[in-house]
Amino acid sequence: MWNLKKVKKDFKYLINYLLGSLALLFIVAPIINMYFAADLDKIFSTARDSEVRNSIFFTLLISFLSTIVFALFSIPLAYLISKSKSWLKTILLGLVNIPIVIPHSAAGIALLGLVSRENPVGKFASSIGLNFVDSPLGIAIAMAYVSVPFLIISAYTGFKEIPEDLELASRNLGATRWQTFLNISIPLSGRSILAGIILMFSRGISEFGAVIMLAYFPTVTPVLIYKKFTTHGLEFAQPIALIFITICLLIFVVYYLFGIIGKNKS
Amino acid sequence: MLDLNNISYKIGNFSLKNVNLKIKNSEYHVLIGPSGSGKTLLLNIIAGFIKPSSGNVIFNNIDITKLPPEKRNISYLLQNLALFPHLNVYQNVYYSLKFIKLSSKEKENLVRKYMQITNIEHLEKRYPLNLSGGEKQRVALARCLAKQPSLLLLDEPFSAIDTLLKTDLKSILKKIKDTGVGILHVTHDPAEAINLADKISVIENGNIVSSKFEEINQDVPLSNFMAKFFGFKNFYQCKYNDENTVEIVDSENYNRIVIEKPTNFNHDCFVYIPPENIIVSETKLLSSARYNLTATVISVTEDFDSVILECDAGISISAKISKNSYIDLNISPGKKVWMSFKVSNLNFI
Repeated sequence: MWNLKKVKKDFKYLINYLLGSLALLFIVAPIINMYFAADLDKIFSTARDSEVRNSIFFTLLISFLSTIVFALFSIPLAYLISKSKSWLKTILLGLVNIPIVIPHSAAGIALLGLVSRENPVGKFASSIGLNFVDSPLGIAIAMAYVSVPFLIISAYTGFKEIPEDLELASRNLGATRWQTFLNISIPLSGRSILAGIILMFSRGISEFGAVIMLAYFPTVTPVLIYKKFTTHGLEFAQPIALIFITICLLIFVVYYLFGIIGKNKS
Repeated sequence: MLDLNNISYKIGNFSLKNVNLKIKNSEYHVLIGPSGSGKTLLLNIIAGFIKPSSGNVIFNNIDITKLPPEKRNISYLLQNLALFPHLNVYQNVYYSLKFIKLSSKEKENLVRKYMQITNIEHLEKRYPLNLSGGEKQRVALARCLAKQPSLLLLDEPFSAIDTLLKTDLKSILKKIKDTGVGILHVTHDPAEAINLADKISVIENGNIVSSKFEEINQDVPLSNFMAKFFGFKNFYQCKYNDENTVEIVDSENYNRIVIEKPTNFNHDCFVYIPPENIIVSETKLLSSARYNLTATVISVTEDFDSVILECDAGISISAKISKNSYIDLNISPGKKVWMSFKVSNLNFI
């Protein structure tokens, strides 16, 4: 029998599908359109352009290095927060997330204020030969500033999921806190840490707002896309954007597959 | 070996209050107490995971109260075993020697030795995820023993394994004790510890309320206390009567019956007959059960999946039977029944 009530209910449920599909379309449509509208000749010629290639290579390298260097500091921080039983924990977690909630261009301005030569920190850095403005170093800290929360939160989640008893058992079996951290905590949260590293790296290579405030040169790819767009127009910016999006998507696929494999294993 | 002096610690509404406990070399000490009585907390203090707010932990005549866990020669078998999931069985056992200054050959020999004692050699390459409950237990025990501790702490070691494996584990623990290792075993289940213990202490609400195992043999009130405290059914004094018989005395009301002397009876002591080991029947059974008593059902208490029968067989005796048996036998208060049990069901203390 045709159940009118059920149809009505199902029809309402269909609205969810419809609204959801629109949201999904909104996310993927610009990307799909870009691939469909792409002129292959232009993409190949752009890919051969040494300025573009150097910029992409430079962006990947700087983001990679800044991720690795900042991981050395952020992983211990994530660990300490995860082990903290103090009321400060919530505040620390809030502080760590600040770069995510503030506009990135404003973050860039804040960083510039700190490292400029008028500031004691900038002065001191300059006195030991470290220059942050218009230098790879500046780009690295701008990328790290906006992307490091992703690594810290991911590592924090990984550390938090380790049962406390495993670390206690390790201590009981003769390992110091540090040895326990290296032999138990790091391997057991390795997947979360690696996921955080991939997230931080991919977020770093995409950074524009904070980077441009500290360093217009050397030109990272997001800045190059902006430069091409403002000087030559959409037509010239699009192929670089497409190549760069493809690279970002590849990293994302690696991250995603990594997550799926991890889930299946566990 | 281990001497706890006035250990106190407060956590939320619960506190350990001036706990004193002594464990000697080669002593199997069982600490019994209900859930939430502070047993695990006390083990955590001995292991060094928690610093007591007052009191001292003296181990081999040295005050180790402020020593970090890794510097104490005490192994702790945690209740959930805490096997490292990213390490295989061999690596798990090896972990306890990883930070000790020994040659790798010596370390390997020790790992092999304790894997052999606990009978897990064939599991060497397996990961904890692929082990059964009993196998995990033995791996965790081997890991605890490989570092050759003077004292072994066991937190409810029999809670997650079946009867057959319990027997297996008990024999391993006896062997370990015989090598001179002191053992502190905490449990909420008196039955599991009864035939292992050299000494029994009782903990209640953070207080050690009794640590007088020696007195059990003469002191009836203590047995009464234990019986009441843990809801211990079928806990009796067992006394020599003549060369062929023993007297079973109900310490609650001093009623007594005389039964044939069990082959494993040596001296006056206490005996515990687990209610689940008693077979109830309408007529006398022709079976391997050596003891067959006639009894009158006094009361019936239905549990989740079983029924407890309180019976009068000269002494008060309880049996735990399944609901199906209860229905099949058509049991009600006043009914006459036979109660049968084997010699091996008599646990002497």
